[in-house]
Amino acid sequence: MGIKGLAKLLSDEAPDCIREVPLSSLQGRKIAVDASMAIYQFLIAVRSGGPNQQATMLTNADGETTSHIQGIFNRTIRFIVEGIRPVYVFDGKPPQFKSGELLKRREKRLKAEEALKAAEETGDYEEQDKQSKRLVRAGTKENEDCIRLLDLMGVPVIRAPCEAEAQAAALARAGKVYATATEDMDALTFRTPVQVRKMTFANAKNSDVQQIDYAKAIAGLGLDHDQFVDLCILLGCDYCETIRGIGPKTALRLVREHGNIETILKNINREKHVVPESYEPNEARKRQKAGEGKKEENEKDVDGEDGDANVARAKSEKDDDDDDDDNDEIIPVYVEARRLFNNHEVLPDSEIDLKWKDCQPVPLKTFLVDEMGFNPDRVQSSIEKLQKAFKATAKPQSRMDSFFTVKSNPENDAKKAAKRKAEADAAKGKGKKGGKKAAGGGGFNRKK
Amino acid sequence: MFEARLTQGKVFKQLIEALKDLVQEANIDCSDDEMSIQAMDNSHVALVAVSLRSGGFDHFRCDRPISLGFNATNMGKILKCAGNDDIITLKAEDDGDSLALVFESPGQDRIADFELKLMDIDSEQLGIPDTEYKCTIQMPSGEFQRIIRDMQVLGDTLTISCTKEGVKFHVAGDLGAGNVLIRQNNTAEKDEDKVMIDMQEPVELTFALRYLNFFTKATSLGPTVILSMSPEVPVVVEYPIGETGYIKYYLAPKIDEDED
Repeated sequence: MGIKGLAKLLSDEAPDCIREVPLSSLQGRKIAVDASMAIYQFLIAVRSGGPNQQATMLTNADGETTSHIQGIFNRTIRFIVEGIRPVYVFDGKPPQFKSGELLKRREKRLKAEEALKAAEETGDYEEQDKQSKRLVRAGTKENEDCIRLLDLMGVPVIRAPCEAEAQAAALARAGKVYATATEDMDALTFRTPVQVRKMTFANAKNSDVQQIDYAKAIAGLGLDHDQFVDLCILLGCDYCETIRGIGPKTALRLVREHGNIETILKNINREKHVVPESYEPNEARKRQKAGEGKKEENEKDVDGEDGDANVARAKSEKDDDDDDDDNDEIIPVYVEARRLFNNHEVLPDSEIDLKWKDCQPVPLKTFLVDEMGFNPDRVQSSIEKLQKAFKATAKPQSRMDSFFTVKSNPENDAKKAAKRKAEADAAKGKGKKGGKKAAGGGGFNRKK
Repeated sequence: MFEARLTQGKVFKQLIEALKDLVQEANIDCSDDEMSIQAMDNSHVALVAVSLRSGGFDHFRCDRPISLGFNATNMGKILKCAGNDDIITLKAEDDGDSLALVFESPGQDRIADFELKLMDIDSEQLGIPDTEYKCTIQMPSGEFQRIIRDMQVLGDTLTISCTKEGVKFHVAGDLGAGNVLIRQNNTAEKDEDKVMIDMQEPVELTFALRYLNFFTKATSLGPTVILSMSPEVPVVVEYPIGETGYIKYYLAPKIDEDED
């Protein structure tokens, strides 16, 4: 689900890091695509149905959904035609820590199921459509279908041990790919150097994509990486709850002021902001114990960690002095979340070999036409397009920035002038090749 | 403020023509000793670098370094209004938001002035180191233009190989293949008709013809073109402009993946 409100916060606070660039500017790049995100998008968006009937997903003769196959097939061809080489990264097992978030999602699904039943009874198509979209799930079958398709198309696939975004970001950090393509903003928290969003090609005319630069993002926010991770946790990530009453603006201010969550916890106003117990599990446990024992007695500060905030908290909950009871410390959730962001389980670089191959037209056609029930003519022309594009990019076009480095400070005029002067001097030296015309005529190509 | 007067206004006109198909927007950077432009195309495959040193102008004044961001198509439109023999003067205030262009006819009987709105362009500037190239080929610019034009008929990828024998241009496409071999020729009467090949070791590089075709738009700027190549680095296609300037194009080669 990403980081809540991070995109907006970045566009407000660090506008430099977000750029809308034409798709062609990614020509020759390798991009790691978050496959799960893409499959979800297709399951939701690729549907058939008129205005007065319920829109349904595309299916084959057996009633199996094929929306995602259609979507991935076409999008991948589009990538390759544009000279972009995609790598699809699939989710592995969810991190244990995410279970809370997953539980929440399951609840939402149940609710949607009920709503859908209700809508079916009343015959409200719009509502049916809305609710059935909420029920969409990308399961193992969908993933396996896509992996098979991509394999036949000659596109490399990586099964991440854990979260796909983390694996994709690791690939980008190792320089195996240029960027991570996903809508989820947590790719940035996983430190992908560049994130690409809006690669949907929904609009044929305007194929601009959004490119976010990690280094510029944290520089723009005025934070270092650890502070940025803490900011993301406060904004709301997949791995833990947030402190109530802290929105994007406040979160940024607090992180800028205090540097990390520990210090923030010491300093925030507990009346305004409710800190979830999972943030201070040790204190919470103590409180619980204390509550069972004596009731509402002393207002002594327990462990000093709470600083001046304890006065506010002490009003409602009374702490006691029984430090010695709990020997095993419980790790606060935000520390755990931090660990997930910084040391996520990913495949080691040495195990990753990215090879783009020519597609296998015959099995590909069999798969799409016979199994998935696609139109044979369309599949044929798409395969031809893919083969042609693959041939054209067999010798990939290299890019200027892989040879020349970007000048660190383009504003630095003095430096620039000096460089240019050096270049000019060099050109003067070269000038002797140009012929023996008398120098110093003053004027370009002036007739003599 | 910045002010530059160019008797041969045509040069500036042709210069903008020579880059407007390749880049949409660029900065003219002016310092006290030169006027320069560096810009890349959208896909960052090609780069153009222009330099006109102050000595080449009749009058050149630049009080402090200034960057003038312009849209190449719009600049081209305005320059269409200048005659080929016109004297062109460029003027810009230090913190102004427009560039004034004055066109004077040779007889001084017609003076036109235009204003082009400037824009802020945050393009990435690349630092290009001075390198020794393994092969340097100087040839008539018209000949190079013709080769590129002919090769485009057959395909979209051109292989340039420089050997003892000479320079070979090779293209293969759906309808067939083609080769042009250019040999050293020191005996031509005029300097600009000579073909001079300076090779330390053979080099073979592959390029997208589309970009090379954009580069040949600079043919009218000078009679000669200099190609500089080394293995696995961008080719430089340089058109010297008289004694005091140049337009250089850099093009990244197509590289086989398996090599790395």
